[in-house]
Amino acid sequence: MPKIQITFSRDFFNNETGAYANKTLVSDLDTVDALTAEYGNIYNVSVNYFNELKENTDTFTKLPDYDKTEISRGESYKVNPALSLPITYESFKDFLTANNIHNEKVQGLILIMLLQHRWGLPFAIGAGLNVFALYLTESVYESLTIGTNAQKTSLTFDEQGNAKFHIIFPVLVGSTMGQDTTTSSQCGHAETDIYLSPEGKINFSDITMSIEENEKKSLKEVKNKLDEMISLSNKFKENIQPKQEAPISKKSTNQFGNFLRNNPWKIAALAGSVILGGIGIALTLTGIFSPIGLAFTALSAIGVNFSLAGTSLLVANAAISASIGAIGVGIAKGVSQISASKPAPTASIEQPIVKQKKEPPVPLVEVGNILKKDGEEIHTYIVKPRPSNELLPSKQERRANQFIEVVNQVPNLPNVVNQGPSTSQRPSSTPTVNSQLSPTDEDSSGYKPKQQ
Amino acid sequence: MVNFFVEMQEKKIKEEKEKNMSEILEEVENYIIQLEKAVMKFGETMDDLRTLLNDINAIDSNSDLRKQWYKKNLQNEFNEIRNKIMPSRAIMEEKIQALKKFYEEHPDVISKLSNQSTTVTKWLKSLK
Repeated sequence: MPKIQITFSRDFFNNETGAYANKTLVSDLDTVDALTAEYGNIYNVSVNYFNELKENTDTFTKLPDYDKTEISRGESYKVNPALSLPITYESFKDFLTANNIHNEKVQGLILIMLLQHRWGLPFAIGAGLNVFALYLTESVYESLTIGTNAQKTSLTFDEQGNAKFHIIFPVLVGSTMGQDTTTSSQCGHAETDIYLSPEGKINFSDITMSIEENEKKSLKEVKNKLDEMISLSNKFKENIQPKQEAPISKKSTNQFGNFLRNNPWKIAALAGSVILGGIGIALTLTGIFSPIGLAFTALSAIGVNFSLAGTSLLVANAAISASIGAIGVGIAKGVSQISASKPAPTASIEQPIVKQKKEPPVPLVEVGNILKKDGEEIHTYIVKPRPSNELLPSKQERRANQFIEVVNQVPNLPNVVNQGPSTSQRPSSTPTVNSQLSPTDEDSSGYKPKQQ
Repeated sequence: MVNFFVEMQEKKIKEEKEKNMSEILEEVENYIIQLEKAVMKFGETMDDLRTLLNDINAIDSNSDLRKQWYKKNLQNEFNEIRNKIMPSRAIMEEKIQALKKFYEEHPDVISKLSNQSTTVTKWLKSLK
């Protein structure tokens, strides 16, 4: 039975991706279920919060009570065989101490990383994967989702005190958005490792998601969806490729220099003209004043002919008038006129033209190799994070941008010859826009936008 | 004969004036339509900000660190959007003031505006 394996590179789950997931979903709210926006938001909030907490480890010693009671909620927190039920905050700390984790802040950090509620990492990662899974979904009745409620985490330690979290999420297909495991069937799983050093340094492994054929979900459908995403990703990549004008050579402001560089055959004719012209004149003069002039005169005539031929090429090409008589002047004039009348091709070393980017609202997906394992074919795909500067604006930002754009389009009033005001018709009031609006102040817009 | 030319001249001047007036009316109408669009967009942006404000105020200031962190993020987003629209809001207000001044100086032009019931036109007409 063939399988699909999707690899999310470790940096897929970073601040930017969280913000991306959130902003993309918010901007797609018209077409995507509101629940997905919530997922994106949760992911964003959780991961950002977690990263911020990491920088201020003091907060790990001030855990709220509901974190301390959460760990004793049930069997799902039995992350190591050494833990026995019922688990309490104190027994969990004892377990960590027994595994050489003595630092209270690191103990708090481990606890937070394990939490399965909305602020914990497993839920956040599952929510992030859910955002992706929804792109693979054709209809809500066959939706592909990550069972964040049914995730399994194991926690182990090595002798140096490094902690390893292994998290496995079931990939579900069903009509209830996958959250109800009783009515959804499993069609794969996603797993990841997270490492925590005794100093509190965290490393994420790649996340792999495997999907198998299921009665409710055909792999062909999943592959088609992935192909759509790859197609959009490729289009996106093409759009940001720099496009250059050809041919490219150094542009010079010197027209004579441009002429020399771009007209090699004309230069050859010019050089022949100058050399042979010079020889011709010399020979002619020699012929006139020398007793052996006959032979030299003949050569002189040939030289002059060559000279004229060279110049005539210039003349023919650039319509130089009245330059035949004086070869030197004619050449100089010809060069000047040719350069002016027929400029060099517009080669440029300026910045290459980059086409306007149009972003597909999907993560960047690439197709990987087809692997064979135990006679099975595994089609692999790689999901990469989008660059942080490619974030889509939020719904609120887009609205604000539209407002700014529309204001800029308001024209000026026409000039009218003043016919004098009519005092009886002067307005007594002016529409007002709210003057103050802050998170702590109520605003009072004179335009009465729709009531909440 | 002289009268004929005088009449023709007056007729020509009158036609020219009417033509100018129709152009002016068109420009004023366009101004009002665009200004109204800006006002509507401003209203929508304010709706968004109000929603955000409600979300922010819904988070109790005595809630735990995480909710406070979330509140701080929402406040940052709110402030960013508010600061972003401020310059355009000022321009929009200037445009409104310009229209008000125009109305004061040229009530005859305003009275000739076709009865397109835009918000701003309604406001102008209601002031009579």
